[in-house]
Amino acid sequence: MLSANLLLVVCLAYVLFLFVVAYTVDRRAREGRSKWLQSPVIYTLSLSVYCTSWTFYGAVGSAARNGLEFVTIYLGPTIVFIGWWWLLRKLVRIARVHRITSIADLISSRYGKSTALGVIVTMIAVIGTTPYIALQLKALTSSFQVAGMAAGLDAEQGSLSSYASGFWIAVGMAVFTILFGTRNLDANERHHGVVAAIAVEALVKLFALIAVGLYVVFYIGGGPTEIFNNLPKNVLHEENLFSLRWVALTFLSATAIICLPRQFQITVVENVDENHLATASWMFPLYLMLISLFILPIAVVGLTVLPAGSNPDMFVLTLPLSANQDALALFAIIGGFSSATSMVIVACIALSTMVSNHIILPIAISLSDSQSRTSGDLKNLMLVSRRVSIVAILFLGFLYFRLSGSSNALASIGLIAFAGVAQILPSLLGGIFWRSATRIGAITGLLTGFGLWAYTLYLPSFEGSLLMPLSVIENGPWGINLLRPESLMGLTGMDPLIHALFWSLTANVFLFTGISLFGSARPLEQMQAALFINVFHTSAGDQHRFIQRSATAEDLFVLAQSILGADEARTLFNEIAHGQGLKSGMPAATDAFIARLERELAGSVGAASAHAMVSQVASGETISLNELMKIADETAQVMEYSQEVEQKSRQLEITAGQLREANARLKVLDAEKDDFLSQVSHELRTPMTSIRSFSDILIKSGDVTQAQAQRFLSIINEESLRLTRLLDEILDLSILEKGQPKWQLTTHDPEMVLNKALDTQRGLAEQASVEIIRSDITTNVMIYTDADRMSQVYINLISNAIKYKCSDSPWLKVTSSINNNRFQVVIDDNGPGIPHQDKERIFDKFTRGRSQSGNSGAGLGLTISRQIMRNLGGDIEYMERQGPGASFRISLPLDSPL
Amino acid sequence: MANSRNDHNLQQRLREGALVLPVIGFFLLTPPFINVFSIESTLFGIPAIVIYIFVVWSGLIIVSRVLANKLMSESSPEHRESEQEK
Repeated sequence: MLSANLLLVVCLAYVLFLFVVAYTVDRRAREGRSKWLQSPVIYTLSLSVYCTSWTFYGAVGSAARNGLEFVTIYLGPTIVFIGWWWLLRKLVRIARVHRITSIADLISSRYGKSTALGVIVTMIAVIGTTPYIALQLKALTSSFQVAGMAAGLDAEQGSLSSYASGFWIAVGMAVFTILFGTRNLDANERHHGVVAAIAVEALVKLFALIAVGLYVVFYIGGGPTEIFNNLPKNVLHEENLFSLRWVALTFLSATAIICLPRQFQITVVENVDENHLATASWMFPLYLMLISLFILPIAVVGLTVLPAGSNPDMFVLTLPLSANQDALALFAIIGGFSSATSMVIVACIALSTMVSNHIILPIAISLSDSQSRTSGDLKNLMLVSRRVSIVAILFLGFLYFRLSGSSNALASIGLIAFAGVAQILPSLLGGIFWRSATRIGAITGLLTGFGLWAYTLYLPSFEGSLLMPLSVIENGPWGINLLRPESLMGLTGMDPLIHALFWSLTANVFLFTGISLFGSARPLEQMQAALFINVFHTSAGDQHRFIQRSATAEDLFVLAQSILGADEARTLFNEIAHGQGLKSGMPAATDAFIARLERELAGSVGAASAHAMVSQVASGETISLNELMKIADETAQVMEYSQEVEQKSRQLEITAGQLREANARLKVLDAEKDDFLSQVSHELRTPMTSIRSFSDILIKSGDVTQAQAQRFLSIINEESLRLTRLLDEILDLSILEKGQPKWQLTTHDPEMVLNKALDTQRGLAEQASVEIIRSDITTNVMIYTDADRMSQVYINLISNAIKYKCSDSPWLKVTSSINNNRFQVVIDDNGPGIPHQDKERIFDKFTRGRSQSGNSGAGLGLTISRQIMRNLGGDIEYMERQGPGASFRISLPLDSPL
Repeated sequence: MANSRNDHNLQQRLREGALVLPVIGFFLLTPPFINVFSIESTLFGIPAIVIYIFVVWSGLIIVSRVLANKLMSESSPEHRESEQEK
């Protein structure tokens, strides 16, 4: 038999043990010897404040009533934690960089250090959490009651003592929380002692539940197979289990693990090292899975073994009691006690921080005059206000429990509280991922969502006992049916929870995004948005780049010591002065220093209050928008920039390649041009020299005979003709090379053109006694071409052949044919021929063969001929052949491309 | 050079994996997909749906553990840098 006294002694001993743990760890932490205590395992275990007595006792009740539905409460957090990299890591980083003290501080700081938002979130948190605390008290007192009844006390006595025990539990928890939660105003708002105690409690409740589960499954139930064989009909509620409600509950629990104040406190604020999240990302889901493993079997066994009508919420306790396992029942009570106390303690710390930072301090600031502060007075005010808040919150919870303790309204408060804090989610996510989210949008969304939640879910849950009478719940205010709280706008047939969630979150999200989109943010908001969203890329130290303020170091010191206390303030100022390179005295009140001080103070009193207090001292706050926009877009720019750079460097490479090619071509052309110029000047010099020397003689010498003078003049005339010819040829060539000669294109018989050209050369040939052989006359072909230019080419080749004769009986053979759709003319001779290596060079400018006669042209003939043929779409080549002599082939397409 | 690019790719993929994992988890554990296993049959006498939920749960935990370890070892240089900044 469990005696009430034994129960009391064990509980007190356990509490004492927790005090010792918390005290030891706190002391070690202060001495800096707490390395092993700040391990990821401790962090993960402390996260289990999520599993309250609502889990320990209530989950079995939920499983008994709704089958598997209880699992959703643990699946949501699992999903959030396995996605830690994207959300939780960012929250933790932001909190560390900006010294965030609570979820209200996060929201307020993000939206321009807004006091109003801090107050709103604090109110939501307090209203949502107080009933939850009451729920813990109720669970604890009921567990004592059940144990007491088993001990033989009658129900009357049990219920009388329940309020008393509830009261004393509340007092005990207040003492613990005040001792370890508000020992000092920690710069980082971290409580190592509390965290350690909670980690211990986490283990106790896990082992207690597993112990009960193992006993129930294997001793009472006879193994898992046996249990599920005896499964009462419809316990799993399979047919309509996986509905909208399942999704909604998963979503709600996922939201709760982020937004519940106590969860934020443990996950984000108490986080010592970002890397702990990596471990928690799988270890915390594992914890949740282990804790839910035995819930369903316990519920099933309870339903089958215990008499009908037993309270399923107490199965964890009543099953061991019914089997007379007192030690196990005691362990279960301790487990339930652990889960309830850890939740209450952390919730109280989180709420008291929020209340004192966001409600009490702003009032104190507006009442006090900044000049009249003395050392540490605000620090004391903060500590006192936190202690008072803790007592007040616990008292509120107790009052709540006292007022509604007998009704069943408390049972559903867990999910109702989840839905309440879920209203914070849009502003939170928008705040850290969406730059355009504004303060006004967040305020409107939060207030509307919260209001709708209260109207459609929270107030109706009291069933007429608080603010909202039953008639309103059933018929709507003033009998307006459309406004009925549980079927707003005539939306009936929905689960009340989903109905409320739908309306409140929809309105919240729409107003938040809509107003943010149409409104504009103040500079301070924009700055905080940029710093929060780009927290992985900018440091908080950047702040001073944007805000310019002026203050005297003395005023700042007065402010700092009023919050931090004289010693801490002096240490901080000395450190900063040292950092500025000063040997002694006050640091210079630079923008960077003011920004840092504000951040340090924010770690104690929250961003909004710190900002307000620094602003009281510092004057002339201007925020440089340009600088702000620069940093705001820096990240986006960096990403775009690197892509652009890559693209540009590719383009540059291509362009550089093209430039190199062009340059090489230019160099060749330049060399050619130089060559050409020197050749031209050389060619011009020879005739000019003879013209000059002969004209000299004519002018200077008096004794030149008439005949001599005549000869000289004819030489001069000849040389000038040669010059003119040369210049004509150069001109002709340049026109051809530019590709813009004036063609006179008509249709011709190519044979006729060839014959005419031959005829003009016959006289010359006879003079040089060269025999012309004409063979293979093709017929009836017409070519569209320039006849004069063609004959210029023929004449050039024929005259060359005549000019370079060397044989005793020189001949010249002209053969024409049609080949491959081309008209071809081959001109052979039996002259000296052209050496193999000169085969191509002869077409270059100013290249001559070795002439027998000594007289020669400028060496442009072949060059011009080739240019003409190529321009007409044909070509001219030198053909190598056996035996002496040269052979040129001229070809022209029959279908002229011109 | 090529090595660091590979590292970069791997880290990128790990991060994307960290984003996809919760989505997969949500998909597997909510209707309509979960209805596939909402059947009458049993395994070792335990209803299939109960087995399914706990198996998926364990799977998510294991994958998350592997992913977290890899993410931490991959991003440790970055982490070291940020430590130095402090």
